[in-house]
Amino acid sequence: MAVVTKAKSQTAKQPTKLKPQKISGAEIVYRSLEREGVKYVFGHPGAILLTVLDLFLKRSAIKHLLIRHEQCAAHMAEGYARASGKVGVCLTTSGPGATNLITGITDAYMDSIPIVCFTGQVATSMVGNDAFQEADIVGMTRTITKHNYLVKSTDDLAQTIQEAFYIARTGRPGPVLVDLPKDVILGDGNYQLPDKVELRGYKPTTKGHPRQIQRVAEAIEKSKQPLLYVGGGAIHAEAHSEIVKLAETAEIPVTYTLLGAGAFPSAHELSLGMLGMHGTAYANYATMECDLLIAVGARFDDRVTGKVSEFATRAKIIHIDIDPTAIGKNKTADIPVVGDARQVLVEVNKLIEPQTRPLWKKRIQNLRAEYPLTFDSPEGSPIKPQEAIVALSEEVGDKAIITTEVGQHQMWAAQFYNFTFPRQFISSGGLGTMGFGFPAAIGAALARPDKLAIDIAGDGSFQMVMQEIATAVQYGIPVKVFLLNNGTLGMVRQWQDLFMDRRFSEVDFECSPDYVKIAEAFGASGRRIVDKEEIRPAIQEMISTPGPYILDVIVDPDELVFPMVPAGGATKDMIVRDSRKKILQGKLSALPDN
Amino acid sequence: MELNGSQILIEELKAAGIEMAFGIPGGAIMPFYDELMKSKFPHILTRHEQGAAHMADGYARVSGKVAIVVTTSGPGATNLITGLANAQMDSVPLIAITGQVATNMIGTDAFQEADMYGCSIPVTKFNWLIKDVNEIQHVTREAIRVATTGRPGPVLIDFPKDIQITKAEYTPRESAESPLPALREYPELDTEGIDKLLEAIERAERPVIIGGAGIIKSGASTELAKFAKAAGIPVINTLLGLGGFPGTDDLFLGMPGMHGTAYANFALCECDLLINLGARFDDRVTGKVSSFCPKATIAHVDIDDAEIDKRVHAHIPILGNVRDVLIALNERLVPGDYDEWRQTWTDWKENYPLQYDWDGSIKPQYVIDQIQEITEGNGIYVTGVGQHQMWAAQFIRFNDPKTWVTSGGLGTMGFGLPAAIGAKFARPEKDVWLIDGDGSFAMTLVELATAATYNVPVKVAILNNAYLGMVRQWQELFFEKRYSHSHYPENPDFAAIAEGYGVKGINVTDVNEVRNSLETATEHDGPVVLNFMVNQEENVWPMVPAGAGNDEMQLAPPSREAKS
Repeated sequence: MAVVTKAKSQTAKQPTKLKPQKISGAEIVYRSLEREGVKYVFGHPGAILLTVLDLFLKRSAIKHLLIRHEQCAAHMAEGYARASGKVGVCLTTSGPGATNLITGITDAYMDSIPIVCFTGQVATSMVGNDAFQEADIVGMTRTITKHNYLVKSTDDLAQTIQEAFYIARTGRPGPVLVDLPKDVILGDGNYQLPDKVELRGYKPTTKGHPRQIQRVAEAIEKSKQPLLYVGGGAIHAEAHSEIVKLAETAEIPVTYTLLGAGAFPSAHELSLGMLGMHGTAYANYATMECDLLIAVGARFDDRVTGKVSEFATRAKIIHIDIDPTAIGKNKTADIPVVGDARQVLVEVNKLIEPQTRPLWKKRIQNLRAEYPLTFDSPEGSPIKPQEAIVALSEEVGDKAIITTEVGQHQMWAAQFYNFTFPRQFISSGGLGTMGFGFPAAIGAALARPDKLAIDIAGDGSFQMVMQEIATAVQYGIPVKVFLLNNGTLGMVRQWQDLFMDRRFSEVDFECSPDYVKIAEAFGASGRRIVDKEEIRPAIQEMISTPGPYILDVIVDPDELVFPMVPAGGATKDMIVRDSRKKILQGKLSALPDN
Repeated sequence: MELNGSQILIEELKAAGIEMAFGIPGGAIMPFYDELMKSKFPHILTRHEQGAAHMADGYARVSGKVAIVVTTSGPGATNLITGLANAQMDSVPLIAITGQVATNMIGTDAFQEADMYGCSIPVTKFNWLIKDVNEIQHVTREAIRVATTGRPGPVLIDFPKDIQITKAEYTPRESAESPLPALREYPELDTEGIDKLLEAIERAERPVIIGGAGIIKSGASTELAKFAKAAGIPVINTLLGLGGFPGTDDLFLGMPGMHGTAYANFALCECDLLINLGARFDDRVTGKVSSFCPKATIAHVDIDDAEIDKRVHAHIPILGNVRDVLIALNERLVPGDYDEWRQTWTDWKENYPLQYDWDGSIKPQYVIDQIQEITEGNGIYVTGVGQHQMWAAQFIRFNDPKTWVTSGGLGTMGFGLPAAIGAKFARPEKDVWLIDGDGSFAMTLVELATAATYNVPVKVAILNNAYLGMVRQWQELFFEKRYSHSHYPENPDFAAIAEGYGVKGINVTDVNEVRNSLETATEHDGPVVLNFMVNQEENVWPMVPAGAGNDEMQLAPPSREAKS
């Protein structure tokens, strides 16, 4: 919903001494950002917000980064927010500057990422005139922001910004857009703020209902085959240690969504890895066999459930989520709990007694042994993308924050990288935005200078945003691009391979750029490798080379991502391995009844 | 015959003569791509969907024909928004076909789902979400009609995946049948308005014509030339109207407004009759509306009645297709006596010419001058947005309509390269020159890969000042030279980047090499990027500060040595 802020009526006669001093709109924006603890602003100037830009030059509390395309400003803000848990901020001019943000805003909306986007707008008197660089950004972003504002009076500015940050980071986080007309920024207004943000109709529930928490604990105790299903909400709520505690105390295996990766250590003996379309076979089979599914901050996305009517049919469903509208939306919950994932699990953990489930554990071990994540890499074959990721994981491990683009490489990264801590894995889940990973890595690198930000990229995705190498070079941000280059839009090609008789319509890049040459032209470094033996030395070179670096790994274009649940299919339709070698499918009928 | 939804859509496009697609496939549009391939529909695979939209935009501006833009759902679709907004602001026809998740998944926040219907309402002329395979034929016809008739504009068809593969009975259009349902494409001729305008012309002493994009879109440039010459009335062209009147003609006064010629702005201030033909009185043209054409009777001819009286009151409003109106005017034209007026504006042209000084550095205007000379005004000229765009508009003397491709209303940086590629696909026989700035070029340089892949021989001249030059200019003039975040101290080597993409790249640092490099580029059989390291402090003059009236125009600083 858009909110148009109302101009407040001024009391006619006020004693001069009590009258708060008016300051310019630009000044209010700057002070508000400072007050919110903002360290970085990602932006691109234009005619409208020059007075705000001017303050970034005059003062030093906030660092503004001049990016090359506004889409990437939004993704950088997202990367910063995803890596730090803090609100990411971007600032652009009106018109094209604002519309260029749309994809980034939608991405943040789908993945519940707190960012605040400031966009310039033409002066209020010009709004609706089709003025130069005017765009109805509030109208356009109505369905893709958690909230948005067109500020109409400088007096409302401070409070609006305070609310914007509050809305972005509380409850189910999300993007908020504040549209700033030129006259509002140039005008003077009061910098007055209430002590506390109070919004009628917006009071997120963070504490779970005690009765529901009791029911959760009872269900866990009664269950023979429980399964924890952890999503992005667990990361936002910082619930990871409570999840480990619950899983270990009650001996519950854990599977996670793409956005939940990192919330539970991948190598933990109770970890089943990712579930869903390209999840592990054992995680998917576990969803079919479990009698209790405990969803923590996950939303039963179609890429997780497949055909939802056949998802986890034997299980009672517990759904813990801060957003009541997510509960029961795609899958009915038997025990819904509205609340912050961490706060709810703290309470649940208080009620949980240690339990062991030897049969279930054994069953999981068997599934894992029978359907491991594998790939073939015969001698003399091209580099397999999976082995490159395994090597990266072994060489860099927990020293890195991993971002990805979207496509096959993303799935392989989620499958094969060994994640050890929350916010280690940053990926575009809901919107699946190609071109997300590289700018997100720049944001993540600023948020976590103690880690190495590595974008595991595909060439189709990386080509969308390569211009931002210039930004990384300009500010000396040491992001690394681990480019799994197969010269094609791999995931689309995979679908065409499997479902369209190998009619490869418009996916192969007949003319691939020379990434190393381009990196160097931008002032970055790079290397291209084609042999398996080069992988590890090249990774070491990438890590030890200062500044941005592009490692162009030429990989086998015919490699496909498996397992795979075909879109719209049920989990039982999962193709476990490459169909051209041997189909392993529909093993469920052989399973024992429970 | 029974066809699936994708096939029906393609059949309808083909029947309407649409023969070009730009886009990128993805999950939710794959069945449609499969049919595109099977039906051998020409398609250009771009590197970013924004590029696809701008290519279709450039294609439409020079050919007058509409192309389709095809993307997947979610990010593929949202990446189009800027391109749609750009086309909407400049009234350019294009048809976006975006994949959407299956109808039963809509509203579930499904993978790569975005509410494109909602998002694109403000940036399309019309849009549709197809919910039934039986709608496709009708919707496609409507989409083509809406995009290309009246005031043209972008339309969007959101096409759910299940409907792409649903089969239905399809009856092709009878060839004798009107290609589109019977409709009134243009308003009827407003004879009363035309009478009034003819009287006003006869009475006027100081008339001026301002020709906008409507001249180009309605194909009225021949009629305009006939009209202006017969009457002896000088012609101003807005940014989007350039090419609508020969740039070399004595009657041509150049561009008005913020960075218009001094004589165009003087003429606006002094005229007693302004004949607006297909321009919308944009704020960059009018400046402060209250001081716009203070002495003039204003006649406004526009095909879109929403534009008339929107920003500037029209004393003589004429709703109609500009070309039709000009034909009617030409039949009955009786000019007045404008000799004194001709002397006045001729003197202005002589005394206040467009100029730049000469100091041994590469002046951006000089590069543009040279491109003009080499092409003799017969090329197609494309720009990004910023200073270079204004210089190109000032210094190129266009011979023909539809040879100038620039982002006017939205002012979209990054428009240039993809638009140039689209233009070249539309007019392969023409030399297509992209005059770009380094900031604009950087935004969409990824499309060099597209140019390389299809060997599209666009010639790119980057006027590289390592600044966001227009922002820098405003900061110099209005912020005491505090260049906040408008500077690229470590700009990339654009020629080397081009080479990395497999495109010929040349850095030019010496003014004596400018001409040679342009000739080399012209002769090269393929795309070329010329990276001109131009004077960093050059500003665009004249300038009407934002919000000021045209009477407050600043000419170049008087201290400068002038050399035209």
